[in-house]
Amino acid sequence: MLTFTNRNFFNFEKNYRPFLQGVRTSVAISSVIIIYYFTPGEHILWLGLCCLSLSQTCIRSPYFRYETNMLLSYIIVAILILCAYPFSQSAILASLYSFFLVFLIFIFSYYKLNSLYFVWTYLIPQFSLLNQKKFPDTISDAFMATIAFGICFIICTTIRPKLKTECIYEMRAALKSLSSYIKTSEKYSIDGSEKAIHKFMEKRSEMILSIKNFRLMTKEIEKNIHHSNLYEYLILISLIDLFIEIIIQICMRLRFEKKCQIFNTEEIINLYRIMDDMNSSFILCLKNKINLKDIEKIIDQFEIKPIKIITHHNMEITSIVNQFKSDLVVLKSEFKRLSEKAG
Amino acid sequence: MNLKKFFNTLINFKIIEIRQGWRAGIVCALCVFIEKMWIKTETPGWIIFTAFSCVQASVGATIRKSKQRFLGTCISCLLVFIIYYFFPKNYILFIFILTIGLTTAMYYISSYVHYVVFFTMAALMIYLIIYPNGSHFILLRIEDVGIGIIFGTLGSLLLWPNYAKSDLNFQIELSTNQLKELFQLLRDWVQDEVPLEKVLAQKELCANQNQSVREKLVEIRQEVRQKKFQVKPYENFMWSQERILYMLLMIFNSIRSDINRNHQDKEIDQHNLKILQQMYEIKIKNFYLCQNASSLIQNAKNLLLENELNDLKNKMLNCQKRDDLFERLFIDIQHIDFKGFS
Repeated sequence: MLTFTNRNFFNFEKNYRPFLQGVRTSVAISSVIIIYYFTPGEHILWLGLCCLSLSQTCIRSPYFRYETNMLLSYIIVAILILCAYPFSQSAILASLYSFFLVFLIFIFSYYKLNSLYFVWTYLIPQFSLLNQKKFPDTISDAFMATIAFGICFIICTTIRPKLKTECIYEMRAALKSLSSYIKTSEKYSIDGSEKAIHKFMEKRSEMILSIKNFRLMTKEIEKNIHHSNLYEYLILISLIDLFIEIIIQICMRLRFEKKCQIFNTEEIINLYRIMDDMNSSFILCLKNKINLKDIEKIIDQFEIKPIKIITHHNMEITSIVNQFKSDLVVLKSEFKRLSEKAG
Repeated sequence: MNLKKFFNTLINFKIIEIRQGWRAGIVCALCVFIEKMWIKTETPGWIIFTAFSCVQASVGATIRKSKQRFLGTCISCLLVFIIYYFFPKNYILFIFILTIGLTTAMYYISSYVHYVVFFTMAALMIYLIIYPNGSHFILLRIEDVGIGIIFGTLGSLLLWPNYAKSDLNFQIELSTNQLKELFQLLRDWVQDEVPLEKVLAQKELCANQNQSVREKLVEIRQEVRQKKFQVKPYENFMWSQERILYMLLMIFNSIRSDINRNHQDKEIDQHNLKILQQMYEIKIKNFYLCQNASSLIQNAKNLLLENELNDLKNKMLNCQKRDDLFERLFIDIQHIDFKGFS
């Protein structure tokens, strides 16, 4: 629902990449308004639409750099605008061309080329098809799209996506999602009401989305690791990935044990606190410049304090604690392996 | 690329993208035709784009998206009307709302309603800047979005309708198979037959597939009344699937750390391989045992060279008898119709 009081709404680092995308789009549209100030006319609507659409093509793709991606998208769009003219002459032909334009999106998507032609880029030829009446309209549309491409290209190369900054924000966002996941999981374990379950599912989806973005970033770093000094980032990102897996695993076990009424609430809360503290120390580490020594210090500090066992289910609690300890050993050894690999 | 294969792909309705492409394509083509012949609105693009964005992979998803889009559009139009009424021709304010609206729409992507509210505000502001007396665009927007939603929903219902409910069993089967594949890859990886990257990629596929099933369950709630379809057993099943996944990941990580600690120690590799083989024999249905058996595996790793792994299997199976946790899990499983699963 529309909740402006939601804290996440103002937490721009959680959606850093879309935020920058929004800034780029706004700057592009503002440039169009400045142009409108000097050359008023209805053509500005079309220019605005082209800018809006083409500024969305500044995205990371598995195959091309974002500048190449933008250029290729523009070429596809320009060709589609020019081809639209003969189809704009009758309603049946226009329908057929519309079908082709939409179907093309899904073909590109099927061949994993959806960074080149997708919903936003589809808008330009579709609107052009509806606008065109005579051939000069086609030329005018293609020309406007070229101007829009120029504007977007300049803006997107100025406000360019920076890998290191994005990486830090993605890591922080993933850890903050994890923090709220831990809290809602704790509530769900203790409360178990429908509301708590719903909230938990919501956080869980958010968490999965964060991890997805996070893993995309890992691939990007692995690709660029030789060009710039990104080893420290790769180590930290791999460790956080593993850490998240460990926490999810432990949370799952805790929820399950609580469901079976094996644990006392206090025991559960204690374990959740420990996980939350570990997560907070990782978040703190990301506020400073990334340094391998700091990371090592934080991981070495990870320890599970003795838990006060109230119930008689000593075995189960010990089993979870042992599993947690063993997982932390895995985390430490993974850090050593990655550090040795990085030299 | 083989052209014949390419054209065959274009008519292969088993591929979700292709099926959705045909559906969305026909809906948009019809929108263009009807608009050009009869409706002849000022902004035909709004109808077509709304219809396109409402046609989703399943009927449930279409209904959900249509509701959200309509709600978002109504809220936004109301806000724009209030702004226009109190501050007419205040261009500085309009430009400010336009830029803020666009940035927020792109940035706050986790809610579709938010996105529609801010994006519609920005779009209407452009019209109000260019057409100073263009307040009719506010009503036109609601009308065009409404028509687009009708087209999109009808298209989704009439053209190769894809109900999330009917797709659920297939998705669950896919999820189970992905998990089996991960299991197989883990075994192969221990034997150095596949690279680590392949295991990592499969791990992501498994997590994504589980999430897809969960989304399907949300879509089903839009399609049918909750009383008619019991979602809970499926949720329990997915919950178990996730537990299995994370259990496997735990084993994977611990094997990885063992290999890292002493790469030359072939005994450890052999021993881990045996654990995996043993687990493989128990097969997917008995994975539910793994969770509680995890501590056994941890302990067994130090002992199993002497005792052999048959003991592990017995321990796991005995676990089921003596532990009421498994009883509860099996009760969950009994509620699920396994016919759809392999």
